[in-house]
Amino acid sequence: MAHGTTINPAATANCTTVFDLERSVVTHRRWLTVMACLLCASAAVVIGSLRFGAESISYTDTVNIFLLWLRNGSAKLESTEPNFMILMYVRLPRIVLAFMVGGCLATVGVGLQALLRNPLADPYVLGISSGAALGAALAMLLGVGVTAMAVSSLPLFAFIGGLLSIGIVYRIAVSYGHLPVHTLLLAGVVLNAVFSALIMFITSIMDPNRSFGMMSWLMGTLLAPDYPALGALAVYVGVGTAVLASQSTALNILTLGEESARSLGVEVERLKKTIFVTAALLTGAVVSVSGLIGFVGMVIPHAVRLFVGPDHRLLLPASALVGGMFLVIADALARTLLAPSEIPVGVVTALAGGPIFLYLLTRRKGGLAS
Amino acid sequence: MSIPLHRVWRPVIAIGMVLVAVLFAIEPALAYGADQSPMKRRQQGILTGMPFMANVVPRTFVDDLGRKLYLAKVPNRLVSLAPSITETLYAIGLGDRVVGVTEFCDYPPEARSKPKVGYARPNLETIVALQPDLVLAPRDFIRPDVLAKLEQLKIPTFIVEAKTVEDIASRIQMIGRMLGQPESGDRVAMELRRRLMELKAKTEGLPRPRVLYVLNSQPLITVGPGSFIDQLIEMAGGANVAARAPSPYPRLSMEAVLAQDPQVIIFPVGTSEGISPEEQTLWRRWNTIAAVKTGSFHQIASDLLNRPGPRIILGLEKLVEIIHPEQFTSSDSQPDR
Amino acid sequence: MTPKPPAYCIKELGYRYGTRRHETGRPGAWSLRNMSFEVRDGEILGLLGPNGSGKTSLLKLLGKIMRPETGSIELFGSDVTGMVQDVVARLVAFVPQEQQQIFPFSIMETVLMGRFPHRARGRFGTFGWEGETDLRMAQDAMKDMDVLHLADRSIHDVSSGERQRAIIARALAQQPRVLLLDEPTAFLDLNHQVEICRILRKLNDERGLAVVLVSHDLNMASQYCDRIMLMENGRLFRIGTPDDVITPDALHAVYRCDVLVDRHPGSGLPRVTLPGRQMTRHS
Repeated sequence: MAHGTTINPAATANCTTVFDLERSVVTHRRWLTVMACLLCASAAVVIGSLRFGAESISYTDTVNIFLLWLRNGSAKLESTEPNFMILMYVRLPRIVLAFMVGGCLATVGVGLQALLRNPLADPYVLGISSGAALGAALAMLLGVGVTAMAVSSLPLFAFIGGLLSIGIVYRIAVSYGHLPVHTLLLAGVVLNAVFSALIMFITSIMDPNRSFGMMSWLMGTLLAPDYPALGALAVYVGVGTAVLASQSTALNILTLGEESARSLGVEVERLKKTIFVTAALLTGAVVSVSGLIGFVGMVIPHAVRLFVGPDHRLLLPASALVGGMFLVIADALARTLLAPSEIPVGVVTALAGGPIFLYLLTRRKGGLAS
Repeated sequence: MSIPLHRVWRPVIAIGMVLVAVLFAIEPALAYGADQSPMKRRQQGILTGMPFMANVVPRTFVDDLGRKLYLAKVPNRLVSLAPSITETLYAIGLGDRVVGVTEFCDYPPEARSKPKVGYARPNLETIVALQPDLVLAPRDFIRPDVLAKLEQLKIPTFIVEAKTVEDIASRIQMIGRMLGQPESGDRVAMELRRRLMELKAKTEGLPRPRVLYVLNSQPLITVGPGSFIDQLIEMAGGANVAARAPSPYPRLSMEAVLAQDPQVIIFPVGTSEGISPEEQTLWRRWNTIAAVKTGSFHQIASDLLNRPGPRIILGLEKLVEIIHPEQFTSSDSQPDR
Repeated sequence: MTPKPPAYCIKELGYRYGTRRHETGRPGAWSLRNMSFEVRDGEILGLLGPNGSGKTSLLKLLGKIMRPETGSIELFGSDVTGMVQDVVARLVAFVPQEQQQIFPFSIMETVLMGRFPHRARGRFGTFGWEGETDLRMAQDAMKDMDVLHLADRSIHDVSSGERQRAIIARALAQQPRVLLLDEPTAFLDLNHQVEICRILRKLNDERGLAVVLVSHDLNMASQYCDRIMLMENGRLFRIGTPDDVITPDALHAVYRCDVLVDRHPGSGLPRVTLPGRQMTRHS
């Protein structure tokens, strides 16, 4: 059987009378259809959200600005038109970052829900996020985030914090080449507790003015760095997501349980380590850049699974796109509702997403397991 | 036989991810260096075509983070990201140049009518739309990523920090010079210093009553060494009961307070509130404390002490009035606001 | 004529919990000790014994789902420890007793998972789409197990018996040479129990599929297994034909109770009957 062979309808003609192939399995055609729809929707959401912000810029202005940008090649910052600056350097990078962060969180959520065989898992359950948050808190305590040359130290500190917690959790959980899932969970819970306590301690000894800034960062922030940094982040997130996506079929089987997965030929320990490390590295990076934005990683995979089914070959990329769209919309709301003040994005994701998810649950009974 | 492909790509991907992460972290530093081409050396940002004033000498200023700010001409459109800075600007007489303030900038009253840009989470779109020539921000409150974004947008930002009252005076002078009003700035600073000397003279050699400053009641948080208000209490001739606490904003247990037996208790209040009756009842329970026995509960407008700006002298004077009431006759005392 | 190599050649196999350090607690007692036996190619072997005799552990060791403490397992002549999980999965399929499914895969998707060991290799990780052969194999397996009409139903929406049959279909889709089953008839109706046995016998005849099954049903084992292995406390008690093993003394020694053993009128093979009410009232 060749890899990627599309299913020939003629060959299955005699079986379509007994059951509906399209409904029972994710076929190549269905994958393409769903992904095409989601990509169009994503483009629409991204373009639509350019409209929203503290300063209102009409659609005609937006189009003109884009034409101007295209005509002049790379934009020069000395351009005097403030709307240009706002659109291209404040709003657009923010939207792009929101899409990447949302997509990444959702993808990690899917992977961890498969790894931990728990539909309530989210990217923050393994303790990596609190490690990154602790790194950021330390940076702000020591004031290293705000110095002459190193204005980008904050994400670096946070990322190092995240890496350290990956190391600690891995070290605790791995033994003799095995990565037992319950130890992983426990290690994550303990680490979360310890690091959160440390963050609280730092808050208590910090200058109240500075601690306010720190809390505000921790609640989620999407101030995008410049385009080269966005590009680097996109590559990073893209590689990580690709690694997770490449294990989709094995992830399907992993949800059956480790013993069944082994009996079907999956190298379970290697798969678990791959998922853990990839998910942890992605989470660390995302938290370093944008603080703790909750809810996306747990609920988007759930909601998407209700619609497209549990096959990870479709679930993973679909969740990525839906997660990206969700965060872009949430961010548009966050920066517009109380302009010029901003609501922290994490607050909007929870307040907006919670009721939507409850509605979904009540409408589609039996969508969840058991 | 060579290593199969599927064994190789995973460590390679892992290494690649770490490399990209490092790249992403150091890249802004690289970009920063690259930006220092001669053409871009001016941190001018958004300037519409103002005529070049031939008699103005370009100047470089160093802010409180050690960053050099190069201003070819006097900035005309100012955004302030702290109430203290807004008050300073108005005191120097630059109120009409201010184009953006925070929502907490309520003094002088004219400042309230200026466009708001946020405080804890400054809205970058609004700032950009105001086209400022200079943004003044407090060191303690600015978030690193906000600062990074402002730099990236090439909006000149000047960070101000004042740790002592003398710092406040010198910052006022610096801001005055930077904004083309050196005489004004000097005048305000000198007035500040003069009144400071007066207060020092008044409280020279006096015994120091024990003072408790209740920053927060439940739990009890006060000001300790390293905090600004602790300094002010010392300058006002008081002895802070938390002078030997380990951190700038320590939590005190009631035991410690009882042991220290403060003679004066000060409560910071907002613009309209006073010390609530519940608060007073809470404290009156501890009738072994000297302050309770004499009923020495005092309130002070928190804005006067929290804002490192020109009105700090009012706060200081009020403190002295509270701590050494015997030094003040009715002709000396200044109105609160 | 050279004899075919045995499906399994087990030597001095031992297993116990707790020595793999990822399992908490002190090392437990041995659940298997010094097991040495062979599973002949193309035979149906039944594993019988009381609870705790190590039957399921043995089955899992045969499927390389767990790793033994001591001893060796040879699968068609090659040592199992040197074989990649994939390769083992192409030869051996395992049907567990119970399966919790967290996510609502359809029956078709579940059975198609059995084709995983046969996927094309080396491309984008394990990502791939099922081909025509995969679909055909899955359909055949579902037809054999009579679950084809349930193909697009979620695995949560079917009865436990139907679910069990779907899992067996998944194992059949793996096209194994050895099938390991843990209590396959536990949740099935009588007609399906008979059906399973019939299918196993048919596959055994047609394809030479070797079967190792754990069961509590002594009679089923007696009727359908070529050989039976009786286990007690992790040790091999007796292995042989049903005539050799299903005897009152053997059953008394292992199960510690008296049963009636006579001959099935149709096949002549041993038949176990529970003691009648009058028999139980003795000391």
